Amino acid sequence: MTMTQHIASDDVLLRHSSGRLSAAHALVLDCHLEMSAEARSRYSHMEALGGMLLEELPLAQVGDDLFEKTLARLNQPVVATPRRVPHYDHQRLAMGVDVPTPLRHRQIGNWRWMGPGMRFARIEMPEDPTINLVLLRIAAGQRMPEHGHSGKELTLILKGAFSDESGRYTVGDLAEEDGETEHRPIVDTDGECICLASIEGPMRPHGWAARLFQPFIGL
Amino acid sequence: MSGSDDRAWMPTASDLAELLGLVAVHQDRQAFAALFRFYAPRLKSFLLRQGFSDSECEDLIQEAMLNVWRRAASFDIAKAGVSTWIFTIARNAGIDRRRREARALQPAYEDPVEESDPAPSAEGELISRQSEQQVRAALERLPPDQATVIRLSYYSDNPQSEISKALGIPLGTVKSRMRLALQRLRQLMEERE
Ligand SMILES: [Zn+2]
Ligand SMILES: [Zn+2]
Repeated sequence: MTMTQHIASDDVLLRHSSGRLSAAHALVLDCHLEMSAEARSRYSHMEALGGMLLEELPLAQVGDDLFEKTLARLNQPVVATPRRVPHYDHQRLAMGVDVPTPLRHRQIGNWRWMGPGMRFARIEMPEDPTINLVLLRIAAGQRMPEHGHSGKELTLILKGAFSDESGRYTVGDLAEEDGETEHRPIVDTDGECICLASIEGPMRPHGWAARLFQPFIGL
Repeated sequence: MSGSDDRAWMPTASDLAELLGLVAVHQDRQAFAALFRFYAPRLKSFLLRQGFSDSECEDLIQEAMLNVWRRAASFDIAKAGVSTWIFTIARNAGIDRRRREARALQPAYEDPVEESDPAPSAEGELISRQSEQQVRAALERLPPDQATVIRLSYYSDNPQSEISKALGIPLGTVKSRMRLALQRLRQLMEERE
């Protein structure tokens, strides 16, 4: 079987390259870029597009003294901001996951039960309180409840694999969902799956599953 | 610093690289002034579209251009064009500012991150690169409607409704048009690698 490489969509890569992705989604995407050479290559095209279109932008009026102000600052010595030692420096999670660089200095909460075979840990993201940024840990062979989404959801596989209606996702792959999609992921039977997910708005689980996602709802 | 001559000045990619080289090797202030003249009004357009106020824009332009001066020696033409490099520096300055402001609104929270987490991008290592001219050439080979969709979507705060208005197509069609346009552009760029 050939492995499908699920790379971030052109739309998301474009929005990230123009600086328009919200902080939590941007962090998941930065992790994805670190893990996928193909995604990096496509991303570099998007940045070149940004550079080229910058040349085409209309000229806005800038203050007459702006250049002089900038020159004056050239002569000032660079004040080195004291580097504080990060409180957190996760290199590897206990369950054998290399932590992508953009996550290393983030506070990761305790694992909490979320349903049979499913746990989640919250990642601190004070600059983006509207999005849930979580690690999900789902047991081998576990079928997730079918659910839809009320906003954009980016899921990056850090360990293991799952499959849903759109294919099989392995380490480094990114799954994108939005308000129009629904899916029902199933984790591979030979090992647990650990994902990093940025979830905008509450998920919309169906029926009995609503109970399981209680921890997410109302945030 | 302004005048009709400057507005018409359209340097080539190698002009820009040469100017940046002069800044890197000789700390040449005239070359820096020329780069500033070219980029400052364009960066301001970009930053205004990102929702920054007039004074924030001017602050960010200074910050970005100071970084251009300081990091000029690390610029590598093999990795990115000058415009792409400067664009990413200004974009990251904007992202950093938003992050600091958002964190300042959460005073109870002690900042665990001692520095920004830069994305792998034109500022750092690139796997493959396209020059701005190659991107422009690819964009020119697209059907005009598709090129318009891409132009409107890149720097717009609300691309879907802008595209819908500009092209007179329903919002529902914009998404699929956009997907097609980006896919076609990517194919054209990858062909040239
Ligand atoms: Zn359903
Ligand atoms: Zn989902």
